[in-house]
Amino acid sequence: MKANCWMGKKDVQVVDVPDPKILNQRDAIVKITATAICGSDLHLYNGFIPTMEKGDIMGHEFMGEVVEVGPEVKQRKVGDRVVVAFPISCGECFFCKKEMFSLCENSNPNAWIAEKMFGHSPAGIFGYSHLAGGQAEYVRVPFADVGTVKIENGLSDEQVLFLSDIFPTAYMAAENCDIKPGDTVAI
Amino acid sequence: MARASWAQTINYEEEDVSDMLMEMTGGRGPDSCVDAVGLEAHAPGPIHYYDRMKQAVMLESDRPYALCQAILACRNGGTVSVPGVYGGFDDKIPIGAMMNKGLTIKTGQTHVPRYFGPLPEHIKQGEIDPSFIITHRMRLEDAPKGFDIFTNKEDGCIKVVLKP
Repeated sequence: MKANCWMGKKDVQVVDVPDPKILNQRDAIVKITATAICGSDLHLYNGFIPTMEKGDIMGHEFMGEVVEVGPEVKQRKVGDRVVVAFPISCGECFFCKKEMFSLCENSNPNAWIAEKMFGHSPAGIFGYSHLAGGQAEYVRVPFADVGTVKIENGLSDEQVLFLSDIFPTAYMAAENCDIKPGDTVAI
Repeated sequence: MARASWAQTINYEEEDVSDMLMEMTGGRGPDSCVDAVGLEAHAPGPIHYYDRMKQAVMLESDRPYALCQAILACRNGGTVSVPGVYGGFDDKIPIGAMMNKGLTIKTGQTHVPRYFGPLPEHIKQGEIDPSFIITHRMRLEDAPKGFDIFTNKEDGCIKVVLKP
């Protein structure tokens, strides 16, 4: 399949890469119908995140159609139209149970690096830490029951795509301000 | 685009942001500040070149100008919300201001699945259509061009959507 891959600082190229496969029983494969470039992709593009390797597939804002599911995926089936959350969350750990999904203890394959830098590792993110991203034709979505939302007919891709990242990001940023009527907020 | 959403805007290249925020809030400062920029902030004048130089020689991983500005501008006892992504270790963060002004700092990568219930409902009810932010639509094959115009802020680029 075609995928947009990081090749070096300020160098991304669309190249042929192997199609993703189900690796874990809770995975799904999604055929991507729309994806976007995020401001935080630029941190990778501009060379500020040192763990990138040549060939890593970019992108963490994406949606599409489920084309394959692992045997332990119970909430999604082939044909479902889904938007995928950018952090990967197992749904079962201490943090996922508290709905702190971006702090999942089980989804960062480079947790050892984050632990050295931060003390503890946050969740893995599509398009970072060698987890294949969504600027491609297909993507493997780990823990598909947790990190996807099923979209009904009647809403276009463009209306719902940003549920993957920037819409909830802005919403959570505003929630964190604990805004009250009459408040002034500087952004 | 911000003004179309009823926001009052300040151009940091033409006006002093701190002065303007004080003036617009009667000298008190905003009740809360959101640093949505993160590690690649642009600053006016020499501070920007200072930060870029430090990044180039690996003395600093991020350019925390927006965070510093948020901490200094926020009113006493207010909240600084940080969705903007940072990666490493930064200096010259005004910790003294943060502590002595009694600020609350709330941060984190988004807990996206938490919002998979309420936010699609807002879209379905017609209360918001996030697609307004899209300025460029391209094929996946054109992704390199999308990155180029997005990072260089060319052609009025705000958001690029790619279709495989």
